[in-house]
Amino acid sequence: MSGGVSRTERQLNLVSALLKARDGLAWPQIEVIAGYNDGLTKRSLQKRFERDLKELQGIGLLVTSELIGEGTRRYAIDRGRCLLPPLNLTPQQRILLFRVGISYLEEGGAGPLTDHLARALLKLQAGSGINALPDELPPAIVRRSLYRRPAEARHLDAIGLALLERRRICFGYEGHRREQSRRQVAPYALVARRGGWYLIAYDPERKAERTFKLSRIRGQVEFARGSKAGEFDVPDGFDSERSFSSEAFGAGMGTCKNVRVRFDADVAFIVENEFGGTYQIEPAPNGAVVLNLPQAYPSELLRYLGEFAGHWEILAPADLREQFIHRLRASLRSAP
Amino acid sequence: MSQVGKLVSLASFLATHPRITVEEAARATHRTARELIADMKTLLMVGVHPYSPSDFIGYAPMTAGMNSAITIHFADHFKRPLNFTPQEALALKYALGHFALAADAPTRRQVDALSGALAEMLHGRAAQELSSLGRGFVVSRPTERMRGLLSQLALAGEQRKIVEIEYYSAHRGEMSTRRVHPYRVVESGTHFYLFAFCELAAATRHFRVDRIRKATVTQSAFVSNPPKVPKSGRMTSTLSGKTVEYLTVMFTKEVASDVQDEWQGVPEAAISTARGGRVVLRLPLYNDPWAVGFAMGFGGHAEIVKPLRVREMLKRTQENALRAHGG
Repeated sequence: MSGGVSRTERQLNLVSALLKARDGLAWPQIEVIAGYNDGLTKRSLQKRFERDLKELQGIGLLVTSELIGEGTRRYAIDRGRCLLPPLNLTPQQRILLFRVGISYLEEGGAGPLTDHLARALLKLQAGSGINALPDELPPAIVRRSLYRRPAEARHLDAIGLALLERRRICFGYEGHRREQSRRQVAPYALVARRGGWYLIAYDPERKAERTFKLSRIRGQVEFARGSKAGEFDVPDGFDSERSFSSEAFGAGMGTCKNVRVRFDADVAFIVENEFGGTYQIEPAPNGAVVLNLPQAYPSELLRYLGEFAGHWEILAPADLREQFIHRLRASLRSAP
Repeated sequence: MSQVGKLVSLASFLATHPRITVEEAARATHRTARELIADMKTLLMVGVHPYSPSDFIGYAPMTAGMNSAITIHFADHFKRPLNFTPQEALALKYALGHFALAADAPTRRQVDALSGALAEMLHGRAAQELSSLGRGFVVSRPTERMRGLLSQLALAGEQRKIVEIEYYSAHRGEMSTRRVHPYRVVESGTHFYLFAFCELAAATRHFRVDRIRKATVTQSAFVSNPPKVPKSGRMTSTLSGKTVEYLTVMFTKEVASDVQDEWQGVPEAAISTARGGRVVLRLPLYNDPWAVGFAMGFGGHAEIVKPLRVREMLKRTQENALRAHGG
C-alpha cells in the first residue's frame, strides 16, 4: 500500500491514465495519479513507477518513453503493439469461443491455462466490438479437463504454467531404480500416455531432451532460481511424441507379438470406440470382433481386459493363452 | 497472477457490452455474479486526475440484481483491449487444440478456421505463437466414432432431448437399454462421462461414453433440470479426485520388487512388507473396474484384500475369463 492505495489500484490508475492520454504522460501528470502522490521523494516515486511499468509489461502493456526536455521524459503506450486491432469474428466463431470458455473455465478443468485463457477470451469478446455476444448464450453442457491422475494435479498446474510462460523449473525426481536427483529443466511439452502425464524437457546439465513421468516427481515443482517469462524458445521441429511408442500396450523387448483377442458382441463396440482406425479389427461370428495387436506387454493387456468381465478370449499367441489360463487357475485356487 | 490484467480485460468487456445484465456478464466472463460484482467494485476505485466524480469508472445500478443491466461510465478508453501476451496466445492455442481433439469434424473445421483467422488478426509474438506448430499438452485423439457420439450427446443436452442408449455396465458386466435426460458431458481422467437422469434407475447416473453402444435421440423433450449439487455415488472419487475409499492389494514375492519400483514414494500410496517376501500396497480407490484390471495385470500375483466387494468382483471376473477360455 502507498498512501492507502493498493498496488492493484495504483497500477489500474496508471493504465487508465496511459490509455486515456493520447499524447502520453510526463512526470508532472504521473505524480498526481493516486498511488504516486503520497509525498515520497521523486526518486522513490520514479522507482515505483519503473517497477510498475515492468510488471505491466507482463499483461501486454508496452510503454515507450522519449526525452522532451532536459531530464524530462514523456511516457506513452505503443498503441500499435499494445492494443488489439479490431477483430472481425463471425457469430459462429464467437459462440465457439464461448463454448471453449464454458468447457474449461467453469469447473476448473483448464488447470494451468485458466488465468491466461480467461483473459484471452475476454479480450477477444471485447475486441469483437460493441455487443459481440449472441442474443442467447448456449447452455453449459460439455466440461473438459486437462487433469488425468489426481495425485499429479499440483505438478500439472506448476509445470503447465511454466510451459506457458517459458520458464525453467526445478524438482526432485525418482528414477526407475529409485535413484533420487534434483533436476532443473526447460519444459517443452506435456504428453498424456497410459492414464498419466509425462514432461518432455530440455535438461541443460545433460545437454539433451529428457522425459519425466509426473508421478515420479517428488516434493514441489518450483520455478528455477532467477527464471523469468520467455527465457527460452521451444526449438522448431521439436517432436513431443518422438520418445513415445504409438503402441497402446507397450513396445519392445518382453512384449508378445501378433496378439489376437476376441471380444463378444456385448463389448465389441467398446473396442471399436477405443481402437477403431488404430488397429486392425476383424468381424467374427455372432457380432464379435477380433482385435489384432502387433505387440503387447501381457501385464498391460491384462490390465485393460480386466475391465470387461468374461467377454473376451485370447486367441493368439498360444503361449500367452496358456500362460494366462494357468495364472487364472492358480489365482482362483489361492483365493479363499 | 496479475489481478490488474484480469481487471483491465473486464473493463474492456464491460465497456464494449453496454446494458448487459449481471447474469449475462457473469456467464460470458466465466465467473459467478458475486465474483463479477467484487471485480466491478475494484474497478470503481480506478480514476484519473483531477479525480472529480466523472473521472472515475462507475457503473449502475450499484446494487445490481441478477437481471439488472450494467451501465459503465468513464471507461471508453478501455474499449480497445490490450493485445495478447504470448502466454495468453499459447493458452488459447492449447485450449483450442485440446477442445478440437474430442470434437466432431464440422467443429474441428471451425476451430481451424478460427485459429487461422486469429493468427491473421493478431500481431507480434502472439500471432507467432498462435500459428506455430508446437503442441504443449499432447493427448490421444478419440476415435471418429467417439467424437461423433460426444457431439451427438452434447447437442441432445443443449436441445433438451431424451436419448435412448444401449449401455454396457462394467459393474454388472451386461448390456441394458435406458432412456436418459442428458445434462452434461464430462471429461474426467482418460474418459468421458454422460451425466444424465436415468428413467430406469429413477436417479441421476454417470455413463462412460465409450460404453454406449448406440445412442438414439428421441423427439421427446425433458423438462427436468440437473440437481444443483450432483450426486456422483460410486463415481465420486473418479470425478472429484477426492479419496473416499482405499484399495488394499497383496502381491507375491515374485512381483514385489516391481511393485516397490512403481509405487515407492508415490504420493497417497503406502507400501508395507508382509511374510514370505510379499508386499501390501494401499492406494486411493477411484474406480472398481479399474482396480480389477489393475490386479488382473499382475496375473495370479495380486490379491485384492479390501474392499470385499472389489475382491468379489475380481473373483467373478477371473471365473468368467477362465470359462471364456474353456477352463
